[in-house]
Amino acid sequence: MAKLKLDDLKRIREDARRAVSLREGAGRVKITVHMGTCGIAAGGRTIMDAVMREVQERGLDDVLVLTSGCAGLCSREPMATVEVAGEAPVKYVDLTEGKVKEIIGEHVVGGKIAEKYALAVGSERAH
Amino acid sequence: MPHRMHCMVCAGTGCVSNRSLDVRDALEKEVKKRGLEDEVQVVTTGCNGFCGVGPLMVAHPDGIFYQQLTPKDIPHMVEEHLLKGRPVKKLMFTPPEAPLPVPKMSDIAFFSRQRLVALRNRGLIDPEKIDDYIARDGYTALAKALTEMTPEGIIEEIKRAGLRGRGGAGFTTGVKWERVRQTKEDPKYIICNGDEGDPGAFMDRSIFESDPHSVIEGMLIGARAIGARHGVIYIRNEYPLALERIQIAIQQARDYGLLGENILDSGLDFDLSVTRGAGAFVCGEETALIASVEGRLGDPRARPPYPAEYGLWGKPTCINNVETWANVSPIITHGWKW
Repeated sequence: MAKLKLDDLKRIREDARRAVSLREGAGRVKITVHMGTCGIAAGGRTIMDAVMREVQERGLDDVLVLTSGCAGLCSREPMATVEVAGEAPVKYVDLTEGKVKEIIGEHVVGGKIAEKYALAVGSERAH
Repeated sequence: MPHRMHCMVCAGTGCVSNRSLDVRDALEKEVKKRGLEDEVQVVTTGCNGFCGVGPLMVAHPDGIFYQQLTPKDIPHMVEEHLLKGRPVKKLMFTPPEAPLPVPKMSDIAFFSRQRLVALRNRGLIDPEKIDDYIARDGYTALAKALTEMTPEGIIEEIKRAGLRGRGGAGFTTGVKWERVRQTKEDPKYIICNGDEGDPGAFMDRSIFESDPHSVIEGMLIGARAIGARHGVIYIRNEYPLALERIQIAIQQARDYGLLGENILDSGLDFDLSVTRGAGAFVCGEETALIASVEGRLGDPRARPPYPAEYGLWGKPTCINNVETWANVSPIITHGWKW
């Protein structure tokens, strides 16, 4: 390893920014892939791979990718929830890899809900 | 591909003696078995300060705090939490005053009431990776001290911040630095006192084990302020893990040119050596410590002359405690008013 210069310090910091924000639990957007038994059976792992690939390819370092259990709507799996900080979460259903690309482009990057794939806006209420 | 989860397994001495490395190995194995190795990163960290319920693990980004883990808990936790996103309640901590387990580390009162300065990176970095330290703004205070500040300016900042010796005596750090700087003799030395002989005191060990670069960076800034070209880290021989991590850190800093000649093209030359303590409580006292570094019996001598005038090998020497050094960078970064 060659001797570091000031710019190298900066570069290492930039490269690691995502890891740092992840460990601080901070992110502008949360994408939650539903990974209950039903979700996995319907292809949730493929969706997870597609989400992670898309996040990587677009260089989105402010996106957290999470998993959750079954939301109770097994017939519409694979599902994922996109939550932009400060906005209501949106549930997307019957996902494919292609839809994931579109949703990330329109909603996560573009800021506009991809309505044609959305089931509902908002969360279930807990009583 | 960047991982979506980071599992931070505590590997401070407390957790290691409770077999946290077995837990880590089981976790790595299970993650691989489940095909999650591209999604979940397993990181070993330094001490989190809650050894009583170790081995500990914190899963990010949700910040779920697991305690008293054993290797047999791991397959279930991986399936439920890492794969299906359902944190496992029975592995969480229930504070004595709470009726139910508290999932998040940040909601546990023991942690939420802490404001970490010297231990700012504990649990958040792998102490054996210099890039993790740099990622959390490591060595930026050094860059500032080398490019934007004069030695006198650094001393002034430390003085005005009111930093006092964290070894216990509480002498004003900036005044000590100034005395050594003003002593007209060369070479000058700086020493990090990591003897920590008091029974049950583990703050220095925690810093070495969780964030060794914070000590090195503090000493580099001190070297610039004082005008020293060589520093010694004196560390208890009873701290094998701390010793190993500081040695790894020193080597990494050398590889990056952060120790050695012309550091960051600033003209600063500085390097460190490590001396292991000889197992005597009295060697935490500065004159006894200096005698021990010189290879003599750890006998304290009467002062004056103080080490600032007559220290290691009879030269002007500044001795500060581990925690004092670890506090230097944040002061330089944020300024004394912070």
